[in-house]
Amino acid sequence: MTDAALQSEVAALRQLLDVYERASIEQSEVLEKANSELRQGQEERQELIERLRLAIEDLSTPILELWESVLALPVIGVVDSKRSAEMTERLLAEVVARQARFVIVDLTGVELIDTKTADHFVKMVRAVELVGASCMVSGIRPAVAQTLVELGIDFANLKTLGNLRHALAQAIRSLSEAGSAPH
Amino acid sequence: MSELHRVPVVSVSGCLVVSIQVAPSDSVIAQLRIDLCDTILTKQPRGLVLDVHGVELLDSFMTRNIHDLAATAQLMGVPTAICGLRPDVAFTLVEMGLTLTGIHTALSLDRALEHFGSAVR
Repeated sequence: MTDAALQSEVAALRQLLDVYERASIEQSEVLEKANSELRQGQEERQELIERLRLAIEDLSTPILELWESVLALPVIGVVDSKRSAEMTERLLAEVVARQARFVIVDLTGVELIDTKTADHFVKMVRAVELVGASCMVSGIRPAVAQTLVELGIDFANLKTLGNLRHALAQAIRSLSEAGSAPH
Repeated sequence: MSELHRVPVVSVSGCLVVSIQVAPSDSVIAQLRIDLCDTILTKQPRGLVLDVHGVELLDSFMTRNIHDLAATAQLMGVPTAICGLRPDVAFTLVEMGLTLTGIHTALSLDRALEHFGSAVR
């Protein structure tokens, strides 16, 4: 092989290398762009989820003052440990702030219950009683009642009433019996 | 033990009030138990209120002490109430699985005294 032939071979190879390099740079740019778009999309989705979670949190645990020193906590949906801890914390703060004598935890909106959730409720009631208000549970659904009995959870120490109306009536009766209604 | 570190047992309209500030030491608790029993014997109160408004941290030992004080008084025939448990303290007690069984809990000293008032009338 002559020198000239070798040189032209090298030049051709170099050209080929250039083309490949350019192509690979272009490819990587495209990939990079797609990647960043994906990342941005994910961030947006994460943000949306977070916003929805906050909205649900705000909506999920209102504490109502039904009567003079009677508070109600209507519970709706699934209760996990995080939510129950928040609920308990807010409820206790509210009991102290409003000097409540009775707290009604209304479970009409709870369709399903497991051992953990039941345990959360028992703890919530105990904490309320420790702070010094009496706690009633109302509106336990038939399915929930059956599950609780089957699970063997001790709700015996809890005052349970059919619905919110009965619970409120009971609270008002107790208030007037104690004769402690210095309005 | 100096007098400063003694928990006073105060009589208020026929009831005894013991206000516990911060976590007292063992010796203070022991002294309190003696004082309390003496006062119950001499005054024959309608009720006893253990006020724990000032306690921001309640460990298992302290809880047991408070429970024991209450149980002792109840054995001597004095109905006992605990008042002023802070929300976070109550929450922690429940989370730790500690309970004050058989003892009335009240929101405030007023409510506790009111409880005994209505119990007698």
